[in-house]
Parts: sequence; C-alpha cells; structure tokens
Amino acid sequence: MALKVLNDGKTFAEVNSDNPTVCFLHGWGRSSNDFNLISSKFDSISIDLPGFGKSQEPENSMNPKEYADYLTQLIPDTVEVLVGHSFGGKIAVHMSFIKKYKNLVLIGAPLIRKNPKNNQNFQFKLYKFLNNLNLISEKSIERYKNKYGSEDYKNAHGIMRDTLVKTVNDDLSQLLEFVNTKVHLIWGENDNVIPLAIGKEANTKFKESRITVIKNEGHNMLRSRSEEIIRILKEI
Amino acid sequence: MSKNIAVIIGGPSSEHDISILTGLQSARILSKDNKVSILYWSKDNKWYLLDSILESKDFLEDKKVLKKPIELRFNSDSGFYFKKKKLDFDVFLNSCHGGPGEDGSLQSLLNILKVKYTGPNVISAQICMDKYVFYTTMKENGLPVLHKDLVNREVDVSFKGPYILKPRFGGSSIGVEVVSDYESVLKIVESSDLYTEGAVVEKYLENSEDILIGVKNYPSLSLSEIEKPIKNETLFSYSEKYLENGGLEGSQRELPANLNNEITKKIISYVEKINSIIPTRGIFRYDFLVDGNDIYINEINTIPGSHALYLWQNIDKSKYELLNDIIDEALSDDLTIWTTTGSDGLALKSAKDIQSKLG
Repeated sequence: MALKVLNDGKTFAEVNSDNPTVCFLHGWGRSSNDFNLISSKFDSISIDLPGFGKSQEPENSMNPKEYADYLTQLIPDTVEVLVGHSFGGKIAVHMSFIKKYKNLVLIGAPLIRKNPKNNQNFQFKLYKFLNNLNLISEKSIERYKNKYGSEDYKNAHGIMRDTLVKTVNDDLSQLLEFVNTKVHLIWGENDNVIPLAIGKEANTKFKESRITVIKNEGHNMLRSRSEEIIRILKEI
Repeated sequence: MSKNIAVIIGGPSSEHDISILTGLQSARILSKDNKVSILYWSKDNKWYLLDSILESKDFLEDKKVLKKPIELRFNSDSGFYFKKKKLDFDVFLNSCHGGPGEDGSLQSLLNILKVKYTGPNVISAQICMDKYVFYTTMKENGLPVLHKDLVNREVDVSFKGPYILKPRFGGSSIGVEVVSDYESVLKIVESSDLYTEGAVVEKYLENSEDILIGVKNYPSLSLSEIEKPIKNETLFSYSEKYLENGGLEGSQRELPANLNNEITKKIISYVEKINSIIPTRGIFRYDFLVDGNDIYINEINTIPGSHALYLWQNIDKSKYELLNDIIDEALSDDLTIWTTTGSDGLALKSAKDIQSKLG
C-alpha cells in the first residue's frame, strides 16, 4: 500500500491499485492505518477521512451525509464494495444512497441511535436550563462539556467537534429499510461502544443482510481479527 | 576495577521514552560491578540526577524523577553539579536515541566539559543523522546505496515511484511513509511539521528486506550476528517497532538471519569499508536493504535501541562485557584537545583600532 493524495489535493488514501474495487472507511479519531492488515489483500483504496490521519480538516463541519457526498466524488468509479468501521460505516450507508454498490460491509457501525434524549444527565439539563435563563455563561457549559463529554468529544476541537456532534446526532434507523445494497454486518460480541444489540436490530431492518458475530472481541478488532475479516470479504 | 559511571538518558527527542528503556537496562547491567548514576535529560531540556535502580514506570510520575536538578559549570572545575557539589564521574554512557543526544549536540557539550563519553563523536553523529549527507558520503566512496533525492517542489524528482519518504534528519521510523507518486510526497511534506528540516525520497523496493548488524571496534573489530526483523505491514510502524512488544528487543526477528554466503560476505566487506570511513565508536548498528542479490547500505544507527547488545549471540561475551568494552574504549580515548597555536597575540598587537577596520 502506498499513500496518495486524491484529486482534491488534501485528502490522502493508502492505495495499491489504479482500479480499486474495495474502499475502506475508518472510524472516528482513527486513520487508514486501521485497515493495513486487511486492505493490502485486495485491490483497494483506504481513505484517511477528511480531518483524520494525513488528510486536512474540512473547511466547515460536515455531517455523515456530507462526507458521503464528498467521498463519492473522490473515489474511483471502479469501487464495488464499501467497508466501513464505526463512523465509516455510517458514511458507507449514506454513500449507498448516492451511487449503486455491490456490497456494504459495516463493522460495529452506529446504525441506530438509542435514546438520544436520555443521553444527557440531569446535571447537564440543569446547566442548559440555567444557561437559557442567562444565569450561567456559555463558558460554564463549555467547561462542563469538556469535563463530562465523551473521550471523542474532549479530543475533538473546532470544526471537528462540530462534525462529531453532527455525526452523533445523525440517526440512520429510518433509512436502513431503504438500502438497496447487500449488507454484511460484522460485530464484536462484546462491543461496548456500539453494542451487538444494535447490529442485531439493524440486521432485521435491511432488505438483504446477514451478521457475523466475532467472539470475544470488542469495538476495535480490525488488527486482532484481520484474518477473519479478510475471509468474510473474500467470500463476498 | 569498579568505575563511577553516569548513564545519560532521555533528551528532547521523539525517541525519549525508548532511550529511557535502553538506559535503565544498561544501568542495571553495569551496576553489577560499578557505581552507576543516571543523568536524566527531560523532554523540556532540563537535567536531573537519578538513582540507577528506577523502573520505566517511575518516569510517568514527575515527582519521582524531577527531584534533583543538576547544574552545569564551565569556568572553574567544569562539569555537572548537584547542590553545589561536583558529580565526579569517570565516564558517561550515552544512551540517548535521536535528537540532540545522537546528532552531535550532546557530544559537543561533553567535549567542551572535557569529559569522556561512549558512542559516536561529533562528526560521526552528524553524518549518520543526516540521511542526505550520509548517502552522498557512501556514494562518493563507491558503496552501494539507493539513490536519494532531496524533496523540493522547485526541482523535479529524478526517478519514478513508489517512493519511501523520510525526514532528512532523525533515525526513528516516525515520518517514514510509502508514497505512490511525487505530488503526494510534496503534499505530505508541505502539510506536516515532521519535515521542516528537509525530506528525502528513495525508490520503494517492495520485496526488499532489512538486514541489521552490530559493529564495535574495541578492543578489536567485532561484528554481531546478522538480524532480519520480521515485518507485517508495508514498513515498520513506530508502534510496531517499539510499543507492541515491549521495546525493540522484544520484536519478532530472525537471528541469525538465514542468508546465503555470498550476501553475508558482501555485507561484511561493506561493513569493513564503511568502518574505515566513519569509524564505529561504542556500538553502531548498520542497517542494510537486501533486494534479491542486491545489497544497499541504508543507514547507520550510532546509538541503537538496547545498544544492540542482544545481537551478539555469536561470541562468548555477556552483555556486561560488551558494555564494559565500550566504557573502556571511552576511557582509553584522549580528551578532545583544541590547539591555540597561531594565536600568539601578534595579530592583536599589530591591528589598528576596530573602528578603522569598519572603514
């Protein structure tokens, strides 16, 4: 695999072919490196998504649909299979509505958003309420978020923080039944970021899908279980 | 005879942490028969005195390692001082990797302090840290070396990709990338601060293998077993090389490497020739690339991880004896002397006032 700058002059990808058939999309805060052990086994392109790895940040924050629009323009027409891990899986679903692909492979992807309203705890709601009454400042809210936000939220800044918020708020659950591409779900049995239950529920919604559960694995298994993932991809 | 040894570790370098591992191992080995202290050079360029019995995890807590700041004195009785008391060491073992500990800066400081130290001298350290100067030196001496170009948007590259892109300075794998085309090389170099001091490209040979060999010159030339590290991906990533297996010594390797006689003979003859141009001091590790029957000298690591002690499985010497050899080598060398012959005041006496020279 070799690094290459794509036509926009600011997004990089690991490529090993001028006519790749498989496109790999990594998770939030990760890079194309996650797929190194897998991508080299296929004619492939493994993207550093805008804002990650070597690629420059987008000029404005983007939601997953906008990532999908952008990447559809950017990747070669020869791509037939999209493989997305986590956040990358979300983008892959959106991409399948823009252009026809043969297969989607979604690994530990946040396809259904659970209880979005209950995610915020009472203290945060109180802060927001007081903020609305002008009793506490935006700064205090920001401090609270920095202290109690998710690791991803704490690590993201500026445009990428807004991008993360848009990503988390993007709920695919109403869209899954309209996906016209064959879907292969791969899930770690003990995924505690995007629980297996979400994968199983999503599997009932797609028109044509199946799920492979990988025993004793969590959310990040692209390296530890590369052999199994390669095998599944080769079967497709 | 027991010696009073200071092991210098750390330094403001991307290999700061790996240096701590090398230094702590070395201190432990040398403690067998010597009085050993550690001089810790912090990431923010400060110096501290430490005991030799520390564990690597202790360096995660500032309060354990930043207790005893050291001062430097130049004019009377120059050297390292703790609480106004001079630290009298017989010799310094330099266990720094990369950055100023391996690029000639530390060596210059130790020369000025008039102390004895192990490892490369100023010039060898500088030549081996600069990949372009090292390349031209090898080429000029007729040694096989992969063609390198300096990366520069103003000048066209002289050969086709894929390329290996490397920062011009620095010995670690940080910033080393396989890149498909030159435009991508330029984009990477322009968008990252790893290459601000310059970058070089060479042809990426997909099926080439790395071959490593340790070299020492004291008491006489000695070559280690030849090692072939085992790589999983395109190149060694930094994490693969250092982090996943508990340091360089824990990585997967073929030792001794399974090579045909012809290649082994060639490697040994190249080592001997290079050693006559850039003499090894301490333990250097030569890194070769073998591509079919072609061999290229890739680089010399003048202070390799773990001082490459694990490579010497072919001779009957313990790690203690190997380290002791390089300590003895340092002690046996004369201190750097600068001559002032020619500056006898005559030029000063005969000169007119400075203002008249500004004319």
